[in-house]
Amino acid sequence: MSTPIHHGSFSITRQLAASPARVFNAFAQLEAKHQWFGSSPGFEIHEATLDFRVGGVELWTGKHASGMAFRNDTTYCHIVPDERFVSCYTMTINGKVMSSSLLSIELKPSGTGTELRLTEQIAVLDGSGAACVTGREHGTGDMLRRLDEFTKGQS
Amino acid sequence: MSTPILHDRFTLERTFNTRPSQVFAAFAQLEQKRRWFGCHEGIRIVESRVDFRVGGVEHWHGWHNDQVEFTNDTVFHHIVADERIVLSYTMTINGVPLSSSLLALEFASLNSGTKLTLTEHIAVLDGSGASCVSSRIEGTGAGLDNLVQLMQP
Repeated sequence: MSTPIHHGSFSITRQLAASPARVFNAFAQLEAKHQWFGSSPGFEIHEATLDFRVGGVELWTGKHASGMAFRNDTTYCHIVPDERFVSCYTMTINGKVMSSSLLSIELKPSGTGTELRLTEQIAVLDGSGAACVTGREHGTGDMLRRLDEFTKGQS
Repeated sequence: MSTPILHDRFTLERTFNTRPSQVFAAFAQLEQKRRWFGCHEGIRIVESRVDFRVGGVEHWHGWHNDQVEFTNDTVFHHIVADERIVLSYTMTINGVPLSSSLLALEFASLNSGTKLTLTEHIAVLDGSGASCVSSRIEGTGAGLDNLVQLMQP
């Protein structure tokens, strides 16, 4: 029998210096996304594809310096340009499915920049429970910091 | 600007006298699913198809009281035969996105029957907020009650 699925969620709100359109593009365009999402320290990316439209899919595969192999499969459920999108993604670690998540990103103008609200609703599939949710929240926070740095630096 | 997305989660449980493999099949096989899913009073299904595998899609299109048109588009993310299914689905009403959800179904052996646990994580997209969630709980519960009836030996 499979272990029971653990369900959790978290929400992170960040103030970003760049405009909503620029932040949106950093998610919607693969070349831009590579610069922050695909550039976590210690991670080597092997494959990256992105078809950013409702029903479209995205794939990232790679390896961490520790030798851990990862795979991220995303499907886009809902997109409003420059305002929001909802996707579902599944993480696989060393060939074993770890989690499936519903991810909502909402952007609104705030001063000259953007208020970004990220909400992840997660189903932990591999038995790692609450620790998986905490780790995901931590990793997502780091990712948003790189997003801010990347979009701020674009001229 | 879009209204803020409302996020919520609910869990429903049902018990069946039949084995997990039979309850699982009622979700996995379209001919069986047609007998309990979307067959509430006033609902007319005009299209339904499924490709039940990880990465595969399911599509339902229908009408409520011949006035409200709806679609349901699903993608399967994780399948363990006879044990669990994880999918995401988006509903539209009259062409407007209503909600996107992550849905987890767990089928556990219970004596000689099955305990089904359904957990839905929902993002309400159209501003209808909590009323969308309560009608989803009601509609999902009604579908599961149909299934319980259907599975009576």
